[in-house]
Amino acid sequence: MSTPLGGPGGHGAYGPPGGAHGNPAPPAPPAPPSLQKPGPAPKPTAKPRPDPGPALRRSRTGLVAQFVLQCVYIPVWALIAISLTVLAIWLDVNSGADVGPPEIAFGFVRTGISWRRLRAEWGGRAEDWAPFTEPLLVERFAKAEKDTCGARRSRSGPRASGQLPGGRRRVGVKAVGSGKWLTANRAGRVRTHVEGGLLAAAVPSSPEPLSLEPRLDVRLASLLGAGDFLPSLVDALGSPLNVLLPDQIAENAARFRTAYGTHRLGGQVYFAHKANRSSALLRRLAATDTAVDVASLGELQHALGAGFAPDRIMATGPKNREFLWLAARTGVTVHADSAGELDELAALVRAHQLARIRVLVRLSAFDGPGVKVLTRPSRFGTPAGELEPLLKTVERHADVLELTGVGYHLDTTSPEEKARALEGCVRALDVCRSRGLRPRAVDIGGGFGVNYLAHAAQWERYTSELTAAVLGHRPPLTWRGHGYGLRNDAGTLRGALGLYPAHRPVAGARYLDELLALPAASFGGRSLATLLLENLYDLYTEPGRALVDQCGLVLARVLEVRRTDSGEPLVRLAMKADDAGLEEHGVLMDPVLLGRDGTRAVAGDGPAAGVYLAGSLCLEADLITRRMVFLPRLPRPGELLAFVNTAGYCMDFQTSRAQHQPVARKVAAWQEDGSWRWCLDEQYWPITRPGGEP
Amino acid sequence: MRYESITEAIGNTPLVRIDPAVHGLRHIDLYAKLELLNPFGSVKDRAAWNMARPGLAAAAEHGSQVVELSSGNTAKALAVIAGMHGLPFKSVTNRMRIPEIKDLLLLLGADIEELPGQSECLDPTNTEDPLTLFHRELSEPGSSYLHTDQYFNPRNTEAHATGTGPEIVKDLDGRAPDWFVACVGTAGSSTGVARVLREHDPRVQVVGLVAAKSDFIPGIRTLDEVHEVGLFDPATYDTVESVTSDEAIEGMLTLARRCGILAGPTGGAAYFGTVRHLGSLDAQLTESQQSDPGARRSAVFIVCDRIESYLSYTRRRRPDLFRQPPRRNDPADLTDAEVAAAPAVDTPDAQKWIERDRPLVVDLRSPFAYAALHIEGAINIVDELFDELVRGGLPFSTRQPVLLVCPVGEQSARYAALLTRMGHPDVRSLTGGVIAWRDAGAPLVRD
Repeated sequence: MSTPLGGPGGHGAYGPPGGAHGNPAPPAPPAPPSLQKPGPAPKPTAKPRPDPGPALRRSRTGLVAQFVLQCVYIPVWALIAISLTVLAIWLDVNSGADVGPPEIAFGFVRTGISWRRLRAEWGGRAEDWAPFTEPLLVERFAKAEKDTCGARRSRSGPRASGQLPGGRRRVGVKAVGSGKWLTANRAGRVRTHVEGGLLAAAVPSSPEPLSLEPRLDVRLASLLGAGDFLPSLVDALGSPLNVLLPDQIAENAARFRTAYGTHRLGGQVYFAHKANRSSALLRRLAATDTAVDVASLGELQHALGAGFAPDRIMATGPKNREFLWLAARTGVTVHADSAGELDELAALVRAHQLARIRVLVRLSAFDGPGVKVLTRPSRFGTPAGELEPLLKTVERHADVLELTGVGYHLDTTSPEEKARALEGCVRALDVCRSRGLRPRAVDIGGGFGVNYLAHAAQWERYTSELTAAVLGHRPPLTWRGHGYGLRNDAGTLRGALGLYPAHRPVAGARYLDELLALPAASFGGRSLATLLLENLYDLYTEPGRALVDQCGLVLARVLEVRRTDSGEPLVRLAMKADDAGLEEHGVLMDPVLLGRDGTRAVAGDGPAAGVYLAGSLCLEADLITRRMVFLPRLPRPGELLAFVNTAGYCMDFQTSRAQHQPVARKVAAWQEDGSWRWCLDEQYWPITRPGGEP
Repeated sequence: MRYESITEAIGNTPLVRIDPAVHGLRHIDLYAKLELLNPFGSVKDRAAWNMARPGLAAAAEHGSQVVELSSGNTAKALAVIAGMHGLPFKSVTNRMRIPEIKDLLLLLGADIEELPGQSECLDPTNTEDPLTLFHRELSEPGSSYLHTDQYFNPRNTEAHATGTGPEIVKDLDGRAPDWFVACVGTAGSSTGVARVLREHDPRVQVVGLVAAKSDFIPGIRTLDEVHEVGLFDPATYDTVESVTSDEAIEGMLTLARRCGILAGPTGGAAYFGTVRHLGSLDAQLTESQQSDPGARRSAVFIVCDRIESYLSYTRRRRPDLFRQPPRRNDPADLTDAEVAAAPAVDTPDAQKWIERDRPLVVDLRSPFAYAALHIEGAINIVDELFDELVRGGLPFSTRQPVLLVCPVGEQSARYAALLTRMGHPDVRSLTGGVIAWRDAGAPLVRD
């Protein structure tokens, strides 16, 4: 390993530029016999040379080595030793604190710095480091704690050491490079330790790496273990690349059906198309009994083209005129947001003499007996308290609109809030019935969630450590001390953690199952499923994220691995942050590292590496993660990172063509006869076979 | 003892020695500070009264509402205090997780607002968490609230520094205990008491107990949540340990069944955490005692509140503690074969049967669903009630044919089988239930 301190002359391997290459001074070519100048010239020719090659080489190399040792190596060392001693003395004088080891120990440590240690510092490998840092730090901390005994924690903001994630490891790197950090270390780090120590007995100190391993079901795990299948796809189609698993969505839909079956409920599962733009997923789903929820003209066209008949399509969300017309023209169900939208739809149907159209109305702001439950205000839907005028509108347009149900969509993970809204819908439907309308469905929207992580313990440990980092009790885990919504307010934690609950033991179809089993408090405590069943209502659900759980991944090539000027290890990928919107959606989950041959890196492959992942845009903010991601080992350029389970909102929802960078291509992959097959997403149909065979 | 007002009865709670045969510590005397004997039932009475008292006169003048973020005992105490002074009280809470406390608060006249759950579709630009909004509402100009602010109010700590702490020292004949153990909720009691005890004797060891992460013990915060508490200062505690809800219930049972202390799970957690923490220390003391016999140590823990409010909390976690006697005529006893063999009739035949023999049509659905739509002439006996009725014997004459109706024909089949077993000759279940009836186009009426 090379070192800047030794300089180019520090190693025998590299000779001085002039006489390098181990074959210095080739024998001079025999001078041509000169007729003009006789004299000594012919002498060498006349006298055969006694093979001076090896002798000459030895002596020249020796000379060079001696020169380097005397004039470069020793002086440089002496200089460093002296400057470090001076620095150490200066620091101890200037720091003004009686914190830290005695002066003499400090000076000794600094001047007695060994070659092996310098190598380790430069290389920065954790295991090389261990013998140097641990005893030293332990000694220092012991002393510091003894000295500062009784000094209580101060409630100041983030520490000076706060700018150095994994600070302990880089202590020496900085100490050699500049004296500045040393101060930060002695003041900041020691103080941090004293504070941390108070909770240490309760909080088992977190053994890094702080992994957040993704949960992988059979299909995704098999895809990641399919050898060079994925690397060859990226070789051919470029990075980033989206891979989708259409068979998985069919399986997920069946799970939702099972939850319906458990509670004996009829109705329909509407896939919220906005979660992913893939054709393969939609076409595969069209081959099941599942329906689709479309939120734009383009999505409606896509759904019709994928094989969904209008009776299996529901139009939701904000709608423009063209969207409404195509919806009415083809006869899909329209989930209306407001009375105004019903008016517009009715006018369209009349003006174009279209058939009577099925509508649902979206309600919001439900109230109920008992305690008041606050709910996030929504831009969508009509407040349940204004049902009366809404129904008047429905009745006015009875010739063209048929009310088939009411619905809600709540942006919350809380089943109790949803239960309250569902009860509100049943009450609203009863009002409809009493007015002679015959609605028969309750649409409870989406929001069933996905469990992203394999281990609850990792998630809990991570969030605890993040809290500690925000409070300055440990080195930061995030880029520039980002707190994901948390902040340190004079030692007290403020704000709310703005993260998706990445580990959710109850998600997807199981969440639906548990929601339906909740008691309907305002109906005598019978379960919500019973409430629907007894009142003869069908259940509509609109799962998006939950239905594309485990349905795909984003692959990106590693372009560069380096340290930033401030020492953060940075991995640059051939993608933009918007190509895998995990961070945007607050989902914290580690990517999977695949070697060039497709082998998945696992813990123990090497020292775990905490890195920041950056995109390839020329933009400071183009960070794929604002947190340090711990990988099983340091990635190498050319390898792949797989952002798994990103099919729901984290794949193509936000992707852009910024800087003329490529948008990820999409492929559909499936297993057949034990091996993986693929085709371009737009070429996939549920009957697609390699070679076009039936 | 005579008092002019119930608030004078707050404090001066007894310190009770726990029988060593129960806790098993050989060299440590263990004392429970019975805060559950405060008049409104918990340790929070002290803090609530101390925090509210200075503002009550002004609040009564302006007609302010007393507001607190609490889902438990503080809300309970404040509801009583506010009511005594003719003020309305509102409790804002993340989630009322103890139904008994929720009902009790409503009974006491409190207004409860529950904050929304976590967002499913995250908006990373949204910096307005519900609590921020709550605080903004409180500080809006012209708003008239008496916000007691238990997590940040120094008067919370003060209540214990002037009350609980000195009482403990007095009851221990002027000595501070060697250990003081408290659960950390608002951190008010532990901080206040610890301050007094340390002033008295700096060698006091203070143990803070928190709930294990992702667990829930009423009144205790988890390891992460304690950092959100303004009064929480890690320097207060020599050790912070975590307790699980199972351990809390275990401790609660020991206190209730063996010590006669009817403590809630928080007190149980304190007891369990204390004994666990002292167990190994006690063993070490055994060795040192041989050289210096007679030097006994003491420890005090706080029993926060009473057991009665936590029946459903306990039932959900330990159903085994609530034994139910075996039941007669239980549809659960039926075999699958019996249910499959239950007499049934499909919609067209049922219509003819009703026309011909006029059976009694019993709709087992809820009154709300029945009122919305039902088969003409049906009577409504909701399944829960029907279940109770058949326990006592056949509720119909055997000469009266019966048609049982439920949503999809499952429950009705079970009850038809049960009634048949009980000796009814002509009871039938409507196949496919009222849904099949509707789908067949048969008439449903709404009265």
